[in-house]
Amino acid sequence: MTVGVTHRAARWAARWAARGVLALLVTLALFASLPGGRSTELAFVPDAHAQSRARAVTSAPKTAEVDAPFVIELRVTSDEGPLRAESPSLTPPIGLVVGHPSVSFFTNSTTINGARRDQSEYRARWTIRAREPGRYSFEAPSVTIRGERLRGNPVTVEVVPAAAGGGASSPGSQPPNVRFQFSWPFGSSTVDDDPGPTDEPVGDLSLPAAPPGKDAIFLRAVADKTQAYVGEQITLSFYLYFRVSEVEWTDKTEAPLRDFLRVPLMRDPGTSGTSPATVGGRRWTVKLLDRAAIFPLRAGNLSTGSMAARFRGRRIGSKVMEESNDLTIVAIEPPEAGRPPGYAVGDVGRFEVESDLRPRDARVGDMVTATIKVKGDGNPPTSIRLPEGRGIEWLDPDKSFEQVVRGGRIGGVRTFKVLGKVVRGGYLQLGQIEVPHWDPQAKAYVVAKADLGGVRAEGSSPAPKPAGSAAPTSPEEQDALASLPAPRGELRPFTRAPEVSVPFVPFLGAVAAPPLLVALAFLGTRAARSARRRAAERKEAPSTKVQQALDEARTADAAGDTNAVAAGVERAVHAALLASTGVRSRGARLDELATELEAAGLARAVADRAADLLRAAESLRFDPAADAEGRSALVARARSLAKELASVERVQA
Amino acid sequence: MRALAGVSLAVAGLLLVLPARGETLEEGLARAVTQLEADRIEEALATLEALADRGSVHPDASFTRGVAYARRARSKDAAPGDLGRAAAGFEETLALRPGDEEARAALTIVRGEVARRRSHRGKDEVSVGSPPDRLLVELATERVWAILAACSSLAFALGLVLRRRPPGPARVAGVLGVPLGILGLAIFVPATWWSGVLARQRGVGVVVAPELTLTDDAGVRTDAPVVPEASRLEVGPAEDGRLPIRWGSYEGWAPVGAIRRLAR
Repeated sequence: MTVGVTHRAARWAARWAARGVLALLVTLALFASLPGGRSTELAFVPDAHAQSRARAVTSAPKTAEVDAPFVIELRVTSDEGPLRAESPSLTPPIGLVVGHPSVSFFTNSTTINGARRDQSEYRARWTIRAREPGRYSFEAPSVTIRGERLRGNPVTVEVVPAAAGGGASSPGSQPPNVRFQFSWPFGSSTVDDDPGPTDEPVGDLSLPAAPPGKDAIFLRAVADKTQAYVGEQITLSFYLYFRVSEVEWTDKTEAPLRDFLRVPLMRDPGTSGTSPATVGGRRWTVKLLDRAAIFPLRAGNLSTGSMAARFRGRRIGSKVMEESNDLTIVAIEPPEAGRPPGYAVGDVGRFEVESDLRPRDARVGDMVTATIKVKGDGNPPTSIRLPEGRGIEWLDPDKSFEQVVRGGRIGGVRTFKVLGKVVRGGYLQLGQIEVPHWDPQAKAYVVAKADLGGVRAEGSSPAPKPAGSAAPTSPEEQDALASLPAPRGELRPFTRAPEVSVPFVPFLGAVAAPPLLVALAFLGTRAARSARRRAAERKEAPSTKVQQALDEARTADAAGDTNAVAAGVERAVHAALLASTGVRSRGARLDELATELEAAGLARAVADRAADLLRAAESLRFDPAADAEGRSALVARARSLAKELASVERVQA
Repeated sequence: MRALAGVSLAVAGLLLVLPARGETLEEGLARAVTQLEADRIEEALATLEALADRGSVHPDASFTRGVAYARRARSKDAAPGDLGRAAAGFEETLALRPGDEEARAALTIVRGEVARRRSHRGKDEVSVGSPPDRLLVELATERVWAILAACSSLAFALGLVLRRRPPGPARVAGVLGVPLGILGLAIFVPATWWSGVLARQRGVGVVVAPELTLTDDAGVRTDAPVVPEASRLEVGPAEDGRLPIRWGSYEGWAPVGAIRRLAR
């Protein structure tokens, strides 16, 4: 029974210990999710993202042919300015021929709504040949960026035997199909963003003659138009013409495009296919290297500048520098005649306007929000005019632009969110939003309009501003800050909230107290139950019964009750024999008892004494002449035998 | 003699500006409003700042201080950081009296003006929210978190008792109470602790400089964006003339003079 209790207690303790550990882990996790800090003071840890925001990706063809070169490319992109990359490394499997990597850098700076964003890209390309077919697994190539080793992803290339009469373009000879990693530089694109046929030729790529001195390779810049309105899109393409079997592009310098806003149209420049073209009566191969939408920023004869790139190939040597031709775009302003009020030069395209205003029910002094969306093809206007003097004072808008490319044409949605303060009560008819712009296709000014609707304003106009303020620095500032309420000269009722602080250690004690009290109560109950059980066991123990019987015999002796003395002695002897030998002697015959006790392991002499004592007790019971001396002697013999049997019991135990 | 006259004039000027001995907050505020109405913005500001330095805290005094700084920001005597100080006044009003809608609207106007001026300088609007831990613990006060933790403890203890009862509703309550109590303790005890840390050690401040650049321990600029004027920040205790700052997920140090702590 004791073992069972201990086992249950151990299981209970183990179960609650496991639950306690779980609770502790949850607590620790919660603490860990809190900002790091010393327990009693602030600790400021530098942000982890201060390390690097460069991302690397590796690309490779899934299959290649034996002896046909294929390219593994490591591309690193960053939006934290120029990348300082060095030591590109690729460990090829045995059996492959790997050349030195060609590296190239690209940078792109854009300014949207006044925010400049610099994006950089680094590419390292390894040209590899396999002499045996098989499955080749490459460890992740790596490069050092700002002192940190940045790794791409491991790739596997299946090299198959060369096809009979293999064509000129094996799968690996084309630049790899790299997943686009550069985030779109003109804000978030919509899901229906469609790059469109960006690698389709702008026109006929044939030329009457190659540029002087160019008989194997040259670069050519082509614009879809040479005259455009300020703000109108021009598509500028850069083509590589070559007459050699293999040309590899190593690095590139973008055309400066100083007087243009540039939006790239190709997500993966240099990866388009090739097409034939006739140059000077000869067949050349033409490849689209890059394409961008450019927007003239001013009127005049604007030069695009040249794009420069280095190439290497079997017949042209390594690091051959080629420059494209410099194009001149004639940029003009839309005519002044018929120009609508509010038109800003550069607002060119086809736009429509949507507006929304919330809430429509307000109180004087409340703020309302107007959301105006100008969407369409072209460069949406960067500012709008809201109707003035209609009971709402408008603040400067918060602008965002969502760029969309469809079929190589740039467009999108420019959203203006404008906060306005209701300054007049009643139903306020807010008027229309007007967005004047020049439609280059229709060659006409168009004014897109949207009705702002009305606002129902409760309350009356605030009291006029106290006189005496200094002159504002500008009318706009007057509008913005003049609507501030008047100072308060009277103190309204205020009760400072008392600083209530919870002392943490006593708090922990208070929180821990109820479960601890319950646990203590459980332990106390368990202990009391155990004590009661032990007392009951003690009461039923043979030694206890022996002692009780002896005590009764002694009492009876003192009282002169001979029968009671004899009965007590008999009970004591029977109990002592049961405890020491396990023999139930009460029903046994006295003349056989000694033998039975001896068989149970009791010494013969002791067994004889026990049998004699029982006989003496029986004799005493029927002895009418029994005196006090005889009774006392019997009790003493019984006590002595009980002690002796108890020692036998201990030895046997 | 001339020096003595100068000192006398300075003392007289100071006495005009400083609150009179024994002047109550109400009297000082009334004097500041009178000065504002008389277009004596500098004097009004000196009066209001003196009241604040004296430890007089009242949302209406903070509100008037915000209005005074906003008026100076509009005037030809505008000083750099005035809009930030105006925003600090309105923020303090809201901190002391959260339901003050007039102060909330005024704060919106001042912040809008800061954004407009930044936009004119070609700078983008920068918006940084409160860090998630602060958002969490600011859902309730430290005392409320502590009470919730104590309730969780009681639920846990009661669950321990009830789950030993014979099958029935009491036992079901006990079986549910134990894990719920543990979960509550795991959430509310850390929340109480962190809420106390934030309340005792980290105050709220407002940028009162045209912009603020956070630096690291070595004084090198961190990669955090420039903090615009009037931005609300979490501020720790000053060390060596610098304040530890937490602005959204960004942390760093800022000069003491660039931040105005809000009274609590």
